[in-house]
Formats: sequence, C-alpha cells, structure tokens
Amino acid sequence: MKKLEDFVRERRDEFDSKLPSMELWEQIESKLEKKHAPKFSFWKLSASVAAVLIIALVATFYIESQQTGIKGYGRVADPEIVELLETEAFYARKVSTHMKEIHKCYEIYPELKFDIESDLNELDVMYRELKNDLNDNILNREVIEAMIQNNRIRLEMVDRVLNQINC
Amino acid sequence: MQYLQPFRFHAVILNWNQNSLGTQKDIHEKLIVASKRGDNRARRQLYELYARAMFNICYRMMNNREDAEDILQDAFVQAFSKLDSFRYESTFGAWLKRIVSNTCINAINKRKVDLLLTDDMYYFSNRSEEEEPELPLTVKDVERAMEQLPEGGRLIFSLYLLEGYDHVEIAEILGITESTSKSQFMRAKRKVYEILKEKYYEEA
Repeated sequence: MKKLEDFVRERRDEFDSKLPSMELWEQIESKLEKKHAPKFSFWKLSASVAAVLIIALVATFYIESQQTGIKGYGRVADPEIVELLETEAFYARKVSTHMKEIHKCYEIYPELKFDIESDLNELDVMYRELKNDLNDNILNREVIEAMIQNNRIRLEMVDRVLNQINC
Repeated sequence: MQYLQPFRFHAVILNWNQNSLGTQKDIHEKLIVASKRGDNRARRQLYELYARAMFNICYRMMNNREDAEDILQDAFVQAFSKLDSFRYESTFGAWLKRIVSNTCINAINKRKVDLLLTDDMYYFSNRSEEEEPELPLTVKDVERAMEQLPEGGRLIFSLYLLEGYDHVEIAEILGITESTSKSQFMRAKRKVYEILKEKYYEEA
C-alpha cells in the first residue's frame, strides 16, 4: 500500500490525462462579458439616458427662451440682439415722453390724435413684421437695421409733431 | 526598478516551497497583470496554461466529465472576476487550484445533503501494509479504482495524494476534522488497493 502511494506520486503527471472540450473557453469568455455587462450597462445606460434627456430638455427650453426672448424682451445672449433691445428701449422711452407732451395737445388739435396714432400704428405693424422676420432668421443684419430705422422714424415723427405744435 | 528587488526575492522563496505549478510564476506574472486589466488574450493564455491541470482536478472530484466542465467554467469565471484579490501571496496556480477545489466542494454539497464522512461504522484491520502482496500498478487502473470510491473517500484521496494538500488543509476545505481526513484517506487508499487486487485476481 505504501507502494500505491509512491506510485501515484512518481507518476503524478500521467494522472492529468483528461482534456476539457475545445469550446469551453468561448463559454467562459461570454460568461465574463455577461457578468461585466449588466453591472455596467444597467447603471451607466440609465444614467446616460437620463443625462441625454436632461440635456435635451435644457436645450429645448434654452432655444425656446431665445425665440420668445425677442418677442417678450427676455434674456438673450447674442450681442447684436442685446444692442437692438437696448436701442428699442431707448427709442421707446423717448417716444413715450414725447407722446406725453403731444397728448396734452389733443384737446387743442383733435385731428392730431388720429393722424399720429394711425402713423404710429402703421410703424408698429411694420415693426412686428420685422420682429417675425428676425425670429425666422435670427442674425439678419438687414432686418435689425430696418428695425432700428423704424424706431428712429418713430422718434423723428413725434419730434417733428412736437416742434410743429405748441401748446 | 530598485523597489522590485525585495519582491522578487520573496517570490523566489515562495517558489521554493511550491509544487510544479508554482515554478513558472515569473513568466505568468505579465499575463496576470494584463488579465487584471481585462486583456482577453492574456486571459485566454492563462486559461490555456492551467485548464488541463484544473480540469483533471475537477474530473477527479466530480467523477464525471459534464460536471467537471461546468465547474471548470464556473471556477475560471470566478477567478477572472476576482483576479484583483490575487496579490501574489501564493502562486497563481495554488490560488486557482483553491478556487477550483472550493467550487467542486460547493457543487457536491449542493447536490448531496451529506458527504457521509463518518468514522465509526467501519472496522479497521490492524494488518500492517507490508503484509499486502505487491500488485503490478498502472495509472489507468488506479484512476478507475479511484472512480469507484465513495464520494468522501475519493475527494480526500485526490486532494491529499494528487492535489498535494495536507490533512490540515483538507480539513479546512471539506469542513471536517484533521483526524477524519487522515482516517478517511487510509480507508480510501485501502479501498483502491482492494479494487486493484480484485481486478488483478479476476484477470489472472
């Protein structure tokens, strides 16, 4: 029996005679991939889906706020638009102080009310159209210039009226 | 590269005490490092270096090809998944062998309620081993005899004589006492001998 033990020890290498089947590695490989994949993909995938959704939402709101920004004088990043809004505000302020003066003369010159307000109305309609053009093509220099021109005409007009009348 | 010196020295000492699986550690270190990074080619090379030895352990413990292949697969998947926990405290072969043995034991424990490793139901003869007649031995016959052993005996016979674990380690792996491991080994060895003897006289 001691001989049995010695025999096994001496010929140890011959006891490893069996071989696993060839495709076993492929099975191990695919199991390793599967084992790593769900751990990564479940959290990472859901995280990236959430990130994409958030970016899409923010982008949508941002674009929308930019578009409505011109109409509603909201915050706008583009310097040309900012300049336009500032010009617009400047002229609007001037026109409104002039108009306050003109209002006082309405009683004396009743026809003035109709004339000046219909002219201003016409300029307003043109201005709204220009704004729509600007919304369609946000950085069109010509449109912006036309808008500033529109504001200038408005001010010149009320200026002229104010100089002509005296009350 | 000065800082590597103590480590190398340590590795040499480790290899001094290891079996044949351990002596090639330095060659395999690169493969282990690459495998830790998830390099699939390195993993494959490691698999190919150890698959045969590990498969034979599985085969001896599970006693059939199908289970042995399942275990081998499972053990390698485990080993590669937790390769980061391998810190060169032993050789890679010894580390892997332990995973393989434990995976086999777990599978056996799952399919059987008990390993039936009890001492008290057998009578031990006091005949000394030298009294036994000598038999002509072949590897094939010993393998076949081992396959006929009861499960617990087969496991201990393989773990002790072929996988090179001592009785303290076997006791730990199987969750039994050291003395049970020793007595079960003696019984298994006697049983192998008896099967061989029977076969020899049948053929004679």
